[in-house]
Amino acid sequence: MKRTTGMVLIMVLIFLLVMSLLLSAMLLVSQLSHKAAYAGQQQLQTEQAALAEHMQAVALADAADQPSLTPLAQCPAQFAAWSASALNCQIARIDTETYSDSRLFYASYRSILLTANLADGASADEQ
Amino acid sequence: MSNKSILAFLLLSPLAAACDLNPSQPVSATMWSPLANMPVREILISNNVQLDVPAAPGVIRLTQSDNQQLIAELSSWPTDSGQVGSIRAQPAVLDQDYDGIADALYAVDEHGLVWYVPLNNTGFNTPQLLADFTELQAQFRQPVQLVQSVAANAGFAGQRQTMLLLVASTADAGDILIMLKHRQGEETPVDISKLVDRSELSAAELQTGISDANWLQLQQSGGWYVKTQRGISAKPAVYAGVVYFTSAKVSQLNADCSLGSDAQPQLHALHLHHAGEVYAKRQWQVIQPDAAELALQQNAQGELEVLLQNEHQQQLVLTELLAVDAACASCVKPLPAHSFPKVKRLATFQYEEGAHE
Repeated sequence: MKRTTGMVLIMVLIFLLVMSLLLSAMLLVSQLSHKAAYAGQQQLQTEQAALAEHMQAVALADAADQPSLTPLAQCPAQFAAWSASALNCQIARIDTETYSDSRLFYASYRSILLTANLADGASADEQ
Repeated sequence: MSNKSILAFLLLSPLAAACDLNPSQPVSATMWSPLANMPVREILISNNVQLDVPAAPGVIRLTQSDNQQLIAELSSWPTDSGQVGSIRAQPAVLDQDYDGIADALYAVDEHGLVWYVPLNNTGFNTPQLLADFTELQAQFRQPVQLVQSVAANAGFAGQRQTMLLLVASTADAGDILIMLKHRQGEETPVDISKLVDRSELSAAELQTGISDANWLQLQQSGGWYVKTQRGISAKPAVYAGVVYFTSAKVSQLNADCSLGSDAQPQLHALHLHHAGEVYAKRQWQVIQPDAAELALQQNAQGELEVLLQNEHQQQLVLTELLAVDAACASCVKPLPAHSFPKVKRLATFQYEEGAHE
């Protein structure tokens, strides 16, 4: 075997090695970009799921057992007004938080609710 | 005193007969304090009656509710003499910005000067005269009632309306219920001529509801008044935009708010914004226990009912309550069952405190 043939073989092997390295790097990069693209989508999905969950929590909220109640001295004005002594109004906060299945994504919502109740608990429901 | 001598006393001095609807306790409120370590304090607001000087010139005193310590006293008023008549009516407390802290008081002296008294963290700012009803020659002894409402034709700005309900006791026209609007920034005091007399409703209005012209006039006016020709026997209460109160014949209403046998007590229901009809009639006869107060309750079916109650007795006076509706001047709608507790969502936002700990 000539000495030059051996050189060509080595060159070809090096070329193949470089090519395979390039190829695998490209694969890795495309996988990453896919992940990056998917991440945004998943964050959006998590946020949407969190909002749906939050709205459900708000709809089911029983204002009385919210931990963060701020009593108002007067209820907010409305056309069909009420005497200050007839109603009790409170501001309540509802917080919910949602994680994605992988726990890599997170979204949390807070709502501020106004709750009005008859003064001095005159409601027969509560008795 | 026997019943006969009470009656004779009442006939001789009809003004003294008005039953006193004021609560015996001073009004309590919360106000700012100048001390940094205790930013808010609980206060009591006493008037001439609670200070036990009913005949003296008008005075309002703020005291700390836990140790009775004097915070401020208002006895000099911006009038020519620097004094006003005795303040026997319990003042009303305004919380303008819904922070639970009293921002101002509304007080009326016995002759009918209605005052707006802003509060600061050490006491009173200069009182502002809102209305002068002295020409009614009436006694203002019943508590001032404050109702927060919004104007019917509300644009975004300035739509809120603070309404005061006052009771003036006259010798010849019985008790007059006055609804006075307070618009912030208005300087000139109003008198009774600036208010619309709604004592009698025209036949046309009884048929078809309030006319557009009348409604416009009422919206632009400073309020309305109704001469009841009777004695008001239960403190007015406003439920869903309807003013409820009861009245009895003046001669049959005793000083302790008990009723004589021929008192013919009636329940009145007036539209808060124009004093027109809400139900089929503006007033009708009911059974009223002695010294009863109006109260609202939700029954087992979740419907609201109006009661007249005292310590021993409850009398149901109205079911199927109506609420006024801003859609038109005479619009009403039934109050739905299970109205309370009512939950309204004000705002929702994303909130990420403490995420990814």
